[in-house]
Amino acid sequence: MSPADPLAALWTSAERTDGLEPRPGAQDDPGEGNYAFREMHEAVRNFDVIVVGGGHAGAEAAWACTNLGRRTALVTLDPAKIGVMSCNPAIGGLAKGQMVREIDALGGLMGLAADATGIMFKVLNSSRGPAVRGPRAQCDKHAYAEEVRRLLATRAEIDVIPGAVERLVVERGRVRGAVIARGGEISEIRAAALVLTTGTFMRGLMHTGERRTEGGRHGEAPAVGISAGLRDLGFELGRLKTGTPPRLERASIDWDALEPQHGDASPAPFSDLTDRARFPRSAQVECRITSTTPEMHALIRENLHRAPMYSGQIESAGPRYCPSIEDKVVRFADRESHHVFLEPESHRDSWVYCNGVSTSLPADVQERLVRGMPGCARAVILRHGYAVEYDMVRPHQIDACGMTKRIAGLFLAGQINGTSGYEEAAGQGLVAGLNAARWSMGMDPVTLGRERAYIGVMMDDLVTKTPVEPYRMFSSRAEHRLMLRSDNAADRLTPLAREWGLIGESSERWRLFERRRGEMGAIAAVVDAVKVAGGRLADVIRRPEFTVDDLALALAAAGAGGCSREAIETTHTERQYEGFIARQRAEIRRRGEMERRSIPGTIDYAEIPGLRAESREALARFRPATFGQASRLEGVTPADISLLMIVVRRSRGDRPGEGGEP
Amino acid sequence: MRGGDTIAAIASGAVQARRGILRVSGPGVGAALRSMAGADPAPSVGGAPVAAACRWRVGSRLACPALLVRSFAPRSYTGEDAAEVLLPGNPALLERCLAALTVLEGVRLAEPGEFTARAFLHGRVTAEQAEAVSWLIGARSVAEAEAARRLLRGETGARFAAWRDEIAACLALVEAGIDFTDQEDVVAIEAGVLRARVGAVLEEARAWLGASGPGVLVSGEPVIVLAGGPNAGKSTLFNALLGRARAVVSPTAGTTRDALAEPLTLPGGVRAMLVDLAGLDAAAAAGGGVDALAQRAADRALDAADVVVLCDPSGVFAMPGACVRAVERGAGVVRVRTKADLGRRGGEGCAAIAVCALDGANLGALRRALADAAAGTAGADRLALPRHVGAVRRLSEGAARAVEEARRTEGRGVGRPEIVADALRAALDAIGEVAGGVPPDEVLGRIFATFCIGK
Repeated sequence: MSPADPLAALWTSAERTDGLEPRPGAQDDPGEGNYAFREMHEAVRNFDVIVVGGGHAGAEAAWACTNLGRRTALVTLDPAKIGVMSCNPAIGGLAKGQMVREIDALGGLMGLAADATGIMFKVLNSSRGPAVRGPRAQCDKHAYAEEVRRLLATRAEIDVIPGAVERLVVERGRVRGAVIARGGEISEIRAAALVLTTGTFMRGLMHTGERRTEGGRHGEAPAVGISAGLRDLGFELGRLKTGTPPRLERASIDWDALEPQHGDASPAPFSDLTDRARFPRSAQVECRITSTTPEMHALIRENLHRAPMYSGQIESAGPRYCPSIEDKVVRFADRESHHVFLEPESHRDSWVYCNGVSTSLPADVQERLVRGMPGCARAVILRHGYAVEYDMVRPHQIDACGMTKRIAGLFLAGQINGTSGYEEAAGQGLVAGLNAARWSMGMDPVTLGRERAYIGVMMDDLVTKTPVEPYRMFSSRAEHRLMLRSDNAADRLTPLAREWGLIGESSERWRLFERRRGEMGAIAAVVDAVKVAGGRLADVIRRPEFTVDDLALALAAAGAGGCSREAIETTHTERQYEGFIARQRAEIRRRGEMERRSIPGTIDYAEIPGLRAESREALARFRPATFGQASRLEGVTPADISLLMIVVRRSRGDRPGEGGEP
Repeated sequence: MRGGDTIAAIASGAVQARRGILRVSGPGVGAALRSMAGADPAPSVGGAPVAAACRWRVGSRLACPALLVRSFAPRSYTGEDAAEVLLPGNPALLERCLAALTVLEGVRLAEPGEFTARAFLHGRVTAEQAEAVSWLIGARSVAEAEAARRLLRGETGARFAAWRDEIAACLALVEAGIDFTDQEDVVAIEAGVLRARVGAVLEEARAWLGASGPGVLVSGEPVIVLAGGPNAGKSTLFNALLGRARAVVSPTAGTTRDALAEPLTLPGGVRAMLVDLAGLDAAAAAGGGVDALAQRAADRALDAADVVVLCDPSGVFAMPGACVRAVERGAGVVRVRTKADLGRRGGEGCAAIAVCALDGANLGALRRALADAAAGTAGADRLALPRHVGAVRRLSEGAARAVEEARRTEGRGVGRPEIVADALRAALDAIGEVAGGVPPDEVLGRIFATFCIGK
């Protein structure tokens, strides 16, 4: 394969009919293709897992599968579009940045790709506490997608199969494979597990003013058959809307006249694997800030009747946190101006992303609109903004490992579950991919708790709440925010990744983690033993005015100066938050046993006497997998939970007092 | 139900009895006994229950003689460490003791049926027994929810809701300063402003709890007084409502002399004190001797009434002076045409309930009317369930933590907003348990409604 053209490698691998199988354990040395010969069926090709969709959920799912050495088919409408950033070419941010760190700690792909292609790195909230800092990177969109494709191509277990999923093959309530259509040809592939990541493509419909185009992304066809197929299988679908702003030609903007926005002076990478000496790899860029004007707001008001969100052309719900410029002008009528951030999308082209003016107004209005912004009087639009409506599968139909309750072996991840954002998609992709791989190996599913990861918070929210808008992660959704920090992602998750087989014993990641663990232990020993001016270091370190630098100095003075800055920072943070974290841990311990206790899927809520109607309805709809999930359903009271516990225990065969009780 | 907690509840009924029982179960029983009774009895050989006399702490300066029966896991009703405390059977005292207990770290009020649920889970009762209890849980949780709903309908409810909304508003402002600092529109709340706003809630909550330490303010059920002329059938009705022959009845007018008071549980779990009076008679009051004393006792009872039940077999419902005063004070009025079996007519203009206490006709309707009238009264508002006391106490703790953190960083924005938010979230969840919760998504909703978020 030629490194310059990773796509060619994928195509080759997709077309490959030689029946080659990767060497077991090849997952931890990217770049090697060491094959052993394997029997191959003629018509129907067999895989361990099929991943449908090559976006951020699909890529991460396929990657996770290969981390477990599973032979994976990645089915996508257009292999050239794998890893594409459809909207803002940025990774991370508040809460999202923590998720990228978590993905990385679990052996994922996103952090590596962002680090390799970032053109502006910035830690948001850097002046605030460590629990609420969010690393963010703007990436070169072309380089990013290419890097994702390059990384996937290093995994010999992945076969990229171009085509559309015509239908899922389901036998006796279990996934068996998928029928793929490409051109006029129909073929079938088989696997015990299938991860569906259709993004905005399921019955995607794009709106720019009165003009409507079928498709999931500009210039790309929608996925049509799959919606109907899912409905036929009994799934309840919903419809959501999201939008994207116009892209401008950089040369048409009076760039230097506008106020610049810089990244961090010393950028920090997402991934623990990224070589600090060779970072950042790309030249860093600046953004520019401009704004909307009262004249623009007037223009928008005059043309509201042509905006699909207001003309009634779109009825699905869009996100409150990412309103279109039409929404902003209507809902915040007293504001005379809104900021607009002009962000270069790539070193390879001159496209500029207009962050702040997501719109589905007609093209002619968009043209006049963008020229109203200071510095943009001659601005040329390279692509108009549009809104896209798409089908989702209402997420109460999956469980916290991503598998649907209705069809065994069928997993859903990403926007199909009603979420928004690359990081949310990737997090679900990882969870679904991991569990699809485990399912194909006959292993039990694994989940992340709310106290363990933002990804766990997200999965739990998805399976216990009714979505009203595309779900986006915010740090305020995590009740254990002080524990879910970007600095301790590896401490929280890398041991789990090791246990679950996502990373190998001899991997670089595990070696780095062990080193960090050793350092943390050494630092703790010093902190607990040493006395400094003002008392014991263990007490002094908790004072809010005691900084990380103070700790580094104290450690150096005590002869323990060789530790990494990261380990010192985490120690400092945990000691500063100690009392608060202890309180949260106590709460988690109290709830722990109840939180994980499982509820059998066979339970019939209609048969439970004394359950209130509201509660019965919520339980029957969501079918919670654990008592923890049940207790978070709207309308379910503690009394209902007591009742349910009795019933569950009874249904397990009238053997009170057995099995895992405290 | 949450496992791992230590749970407590009053195990005896609401009706006045000579002995009341407080039941506690869970890993924290030993610590709770040491705190409330001064000592935790040592286990006997073989783990059989141990009984001990003690002085049970009621308030900061008050203790009450009690008998303690301590059982040890797994040989207890629930299969966990457990204790039963036998106290004098005064409902107000019991609730006060319970409130003091549930303020302890790790101890909370038991949910309906939770003792039995735990007993079943530990194999201490059979599935058949648990089945019966599961029916009860359903019924009781509905009743409790109804009682809480009625309580919150009054002034207390408005106050709780105001605290909750203010804490939620402050939390939204703090969270906006965390999750949306990159938004032009968002201005983080000043530490001083935050301290003032949360401090105001804290002050009110502390005032509500009272100044005398844990376990106050649980008393004063609404008082329902049966009033009417002599021989109106009040005592017969009194007995019928209680379901037992508490008052002496006779066809002779003026049989009742003393005001009799008995606790009464009404539909929806509303508890009240039902009072029977001597028939109101202006001539008797003007006279002397025992009759005049009985009239004075009746007047005093009416002065404390939250609900006046006007009983009149004629359906005329003339209102004696003491009743007028009660109504002017804000007491509710329920009109009852007693002795409905006599089939008299009259007074159709008034909304009255025709009741025959002898055959029970319409007693159900009367009970519901009394429950409704009692729920909205000042008496109902004075009646704080232990659950509410505990919630307000935890609200105060969270608010105090937030205020302290804001004070530390005043003048420098909210220095550690994540710590302030942690405290406010704890406060909000606490008050949310009794006033309706505000989940994170609603806090976000407040942010989106206040600020223009979204690049």
